[in-house]
Amino acid sequence: MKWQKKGLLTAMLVSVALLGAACGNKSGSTSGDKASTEYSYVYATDPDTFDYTVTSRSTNSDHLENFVEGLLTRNKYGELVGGVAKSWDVSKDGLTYTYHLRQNDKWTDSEGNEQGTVKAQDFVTGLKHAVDAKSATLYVVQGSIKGLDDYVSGKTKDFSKVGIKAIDDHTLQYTLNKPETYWNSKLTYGVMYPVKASFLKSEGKNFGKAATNSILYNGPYILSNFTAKSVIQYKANPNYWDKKNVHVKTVKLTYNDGSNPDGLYKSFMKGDFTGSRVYPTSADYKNVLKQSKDNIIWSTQNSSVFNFTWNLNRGSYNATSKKTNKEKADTKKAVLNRNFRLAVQFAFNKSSYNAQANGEAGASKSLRNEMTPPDFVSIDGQNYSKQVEKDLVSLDPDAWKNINLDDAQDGTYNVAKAKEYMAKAKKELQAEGVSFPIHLDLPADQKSVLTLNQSKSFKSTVEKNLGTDFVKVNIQLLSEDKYLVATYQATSGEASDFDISNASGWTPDYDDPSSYLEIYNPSTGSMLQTLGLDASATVQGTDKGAAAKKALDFSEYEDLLSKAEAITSDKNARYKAFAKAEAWLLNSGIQIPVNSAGGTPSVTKSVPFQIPYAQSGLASAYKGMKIQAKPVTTAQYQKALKAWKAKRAEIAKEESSEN
Amino acid sequence: MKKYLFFRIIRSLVSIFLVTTLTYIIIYSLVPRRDVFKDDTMVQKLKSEPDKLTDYENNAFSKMNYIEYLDTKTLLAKASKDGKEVTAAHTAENKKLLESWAKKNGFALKRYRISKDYYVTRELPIWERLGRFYGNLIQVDNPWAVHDPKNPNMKRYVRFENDKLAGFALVGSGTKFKYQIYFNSSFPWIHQNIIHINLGTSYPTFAGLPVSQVMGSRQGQTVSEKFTFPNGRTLNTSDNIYTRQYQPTANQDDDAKERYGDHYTATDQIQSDPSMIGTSFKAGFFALIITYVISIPMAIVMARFKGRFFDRLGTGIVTVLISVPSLAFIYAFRYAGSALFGLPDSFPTLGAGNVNSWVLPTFVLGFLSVSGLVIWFRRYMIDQQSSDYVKFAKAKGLEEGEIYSKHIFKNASIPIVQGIPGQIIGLIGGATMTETIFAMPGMGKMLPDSIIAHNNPLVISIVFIFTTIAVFSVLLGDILMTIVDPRIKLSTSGDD
Repeated sequence: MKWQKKGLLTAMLVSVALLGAACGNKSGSTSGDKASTEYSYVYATDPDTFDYTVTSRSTNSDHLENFVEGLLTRNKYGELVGGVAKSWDVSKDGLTYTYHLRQNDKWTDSEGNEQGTVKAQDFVTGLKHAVDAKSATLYVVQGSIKGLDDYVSGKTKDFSKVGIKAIDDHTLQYTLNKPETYWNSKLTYGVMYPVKASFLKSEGKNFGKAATNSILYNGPYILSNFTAKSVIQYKANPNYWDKKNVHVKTVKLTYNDGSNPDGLYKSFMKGDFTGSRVYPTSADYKNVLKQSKDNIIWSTQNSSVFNFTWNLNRGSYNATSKKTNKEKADTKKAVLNRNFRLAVQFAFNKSSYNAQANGEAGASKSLRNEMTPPDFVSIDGQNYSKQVEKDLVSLDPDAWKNINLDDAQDGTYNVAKAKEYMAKAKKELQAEGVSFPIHLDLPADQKSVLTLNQSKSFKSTVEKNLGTDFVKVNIQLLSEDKYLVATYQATSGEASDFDISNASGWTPDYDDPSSYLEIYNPSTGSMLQTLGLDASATVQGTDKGAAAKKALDFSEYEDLLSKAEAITSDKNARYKAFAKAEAWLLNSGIQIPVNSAGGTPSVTKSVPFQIPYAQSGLASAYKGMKIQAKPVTTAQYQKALKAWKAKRAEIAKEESSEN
Repeated sequence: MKKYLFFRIIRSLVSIFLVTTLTYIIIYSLVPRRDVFKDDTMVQKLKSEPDKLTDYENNAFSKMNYIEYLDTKTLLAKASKDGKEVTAAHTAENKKLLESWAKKNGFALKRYRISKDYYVTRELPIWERLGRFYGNLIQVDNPWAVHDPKNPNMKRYVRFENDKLAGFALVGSGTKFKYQIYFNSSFPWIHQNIIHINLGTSYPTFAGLPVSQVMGSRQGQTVSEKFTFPNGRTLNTSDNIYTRQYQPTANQDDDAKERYGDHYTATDQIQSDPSMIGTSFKAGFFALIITYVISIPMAIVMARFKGRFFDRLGTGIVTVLISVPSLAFIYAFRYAGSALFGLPDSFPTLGAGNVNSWVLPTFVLGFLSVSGLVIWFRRYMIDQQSSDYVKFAKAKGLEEGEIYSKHIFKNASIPIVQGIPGQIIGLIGGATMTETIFAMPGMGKMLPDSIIAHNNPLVISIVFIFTTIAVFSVLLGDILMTIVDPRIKLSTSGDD
């Protein structure tokens, strides 16, 4: 009896002791000083490679852009400024770019040891390595640099024939196939970054594998810790040429699978994170409003665009609610009718669609009304969108009178106009023997709650405003696999299985409207299959969409694009010509720009508008960042935003006048 | 017994082999291949350039071991080796040469859609993939392992030396690793570099890293310190000198060669935190102890005072624990732990170096199997109480406590020991959830993650490791049983 008791007691004591040890030493309270130099937040996806010349995934480049710097980089207003290059010259014909490199730009290894100077030859090594390693971003420059395409396809085996030359240790020269006014913006891609030859040689196949010592660093930060699905940490690069502008000394990102979004805000309030996204559609949002009402700030929109696209030549009907061939034929005719497309566009309430993601408060914050963002480039110091507006009005004054293409508002929702165009479409279509209502198949991923809700919102506003005796939107609930096959992964225009779809989005590759507009070029566009069409330059056999292209007069668009592409010296004239093409695209109504990424609410201690701003390409997310003791207030943010916008407008004006 | 053990181990190996092979077959023949590109934006960007898309897709497939793929450049180089020079021109002669080469080597000759250039692919048959996996599984280092054409006069030997860096060690030359056997202050003091397990190369996550390194090498912040090399240079370094490996002359970095004085310059880094396997084992080991320390005494007390207050309370708690889904239990316990004791609810907040990080995940992992064990063991004890030998002992006039400690507990220790393998297997399942929720860098959560990422080599390796652990823990359980109770004999007597 006695022994037994003793045994039990020991067991209990042991477990108590374990618990005690557990709660004994509380540590980890952050001191005030650390708080201003350490940034901490979460990340969701592990990087899978650090070979910056190869990867195209943002989950990799989001980190790599902090480690390596190219010839040029961005400042906080989005201007291209010297990175490794101190200055540059362009030849008169716009074909030769010469860069003068800094003498003090150093390579550093993962331990912080200096490993020599970044030399012009390193850029040649970098590009050659990108080709050898089959870079996923090579396409950005493959057609631009002279001789590169031939080398990639094996027509020449001599890399010295490619238009990149190290004239001496600190002078680098690129030769282009044709003048590109936006060439410098391509330099911010990983594919154009330098690689040190001796390091590449000694690492061999290990170069760029997902470990801290697989690359050399010349950017603002060094990766100090990467533990998969757990934590990623940076420390400031002690040898960075511009280290006086690196205020945050350590960055700590903790893995978060996104299953508990409300936890982010709680951790922020506890002081664990520097900032936190907040979610207006979540039940916890009322607590956020209660505690941080004056600290909720809405981010600016970025350069991505998401749109609805019409299938102009539907070829497959695996996911459909249409029962008869007559219905199919009627829908096809309706989709090809411009008045019908515009009726649906005017009846579609983008704000309520967008509210599904960001709540009523954020409904309009990320809306977009054209493909190219309004301030992506400027014409004579004015936003690009102003020119597009003018061109639209001159194309069709009835439809586009008083059109406003600015961001963060719905430029096209207009019930009266929708009804007007409905009447027109009805008349024309009835003459063709079409009977109503028109059935539109809209595919949705059954597992993705957000797209489902957005699709429902589209259905309800369109049907309410036009009446179900005119048009019926049939949401096709598909498994993820089938959804992707019908939309994003459709192998050709014919395989696109929908009448209208919101499975479409684009981010630009460089700072020129062509990066947006060329995707619908009828002969070469890479997004044509979202319109049910194929690029005629790459199509096998007969182009099945030829009839549809003809019905749209799509060749007009191609002409406008090639006219614009031909202008390579005068930026204002070039952008004006692209604005014409953009106006044509919007006027045709074959796609409906809806929103962009960004425009989301968060709370943060990071001082607004201090980090580099990049419309395309890469830029460090932490260089220049300053962290303040108290969360940023809405008023502070608005003031900073205003100043930032004013400065950007001023820069745009200067640039235009330089031309 | 020895004979039995021998055959038992053979059978264990066969079952590991079967499970791994089955997994291989399922992954490579039943999972649709195009899923690989599900979230890949590149496919979209390359739509307008079908040739590049073909190249991109085939590259991915070949890296994932589905096919072998040679693009035009490599194909021409390979085909030209057989004597006649093959050029990129689309002539009938070139075509013939390429066709015959493809036929000879089992490839299918194809053309890109736009450029019409040639490329070849070859489906890897399942047996070939399996052969590669098992053939390369165990690698033994030897003085003839390295062949460097640019270093023909390399000495080949293995001998004991007093090395400048590693101290007294079995040093090799011509071997892959310099230090074949070495001694240092870290557990278990004697280390070897002779036998290495090769589980293939990871892709697309951890692209290019050997799977054994992903799972087995240490993680976290590198520990760098000022170090003076044999050549007298002092640098910040985290090189783990015990892992010095041969670096071929072609890839040799002059600087590193000068530092170390020979070709063995490739090293791993010293890192602060345990490996994935180590993290999982650490947490699992303590969780196992926690499970037993809590549930065995609890079950004994409940059985002893059957029907009284503690028993009813315990049954109540256990019933609640069983009925709550594990996921909800983990979240609830995590919340309680961080709210009541201020423990971090995410492992990386304080990191692996801090004991507090380990507490919640380990306890949760331990608690997950407490309820099952308590119920089972309580019932077992009650069963024993009414057995004949207990009645007999009672009749003899033994005290209650004596009966428990000397008779019942002895008998009960057999099923306790026998239950351990089951608990270990249960821990693997529990680890997949706790590690995900606490963002703990262990290997448990790697299984679902690598399945989602289509990282086939990693999936197979993890299945392989889990199966090995499970099969051998069952074996270990059986052997332990014969030690605890000598009456149990695993081998049948007579001729078997």
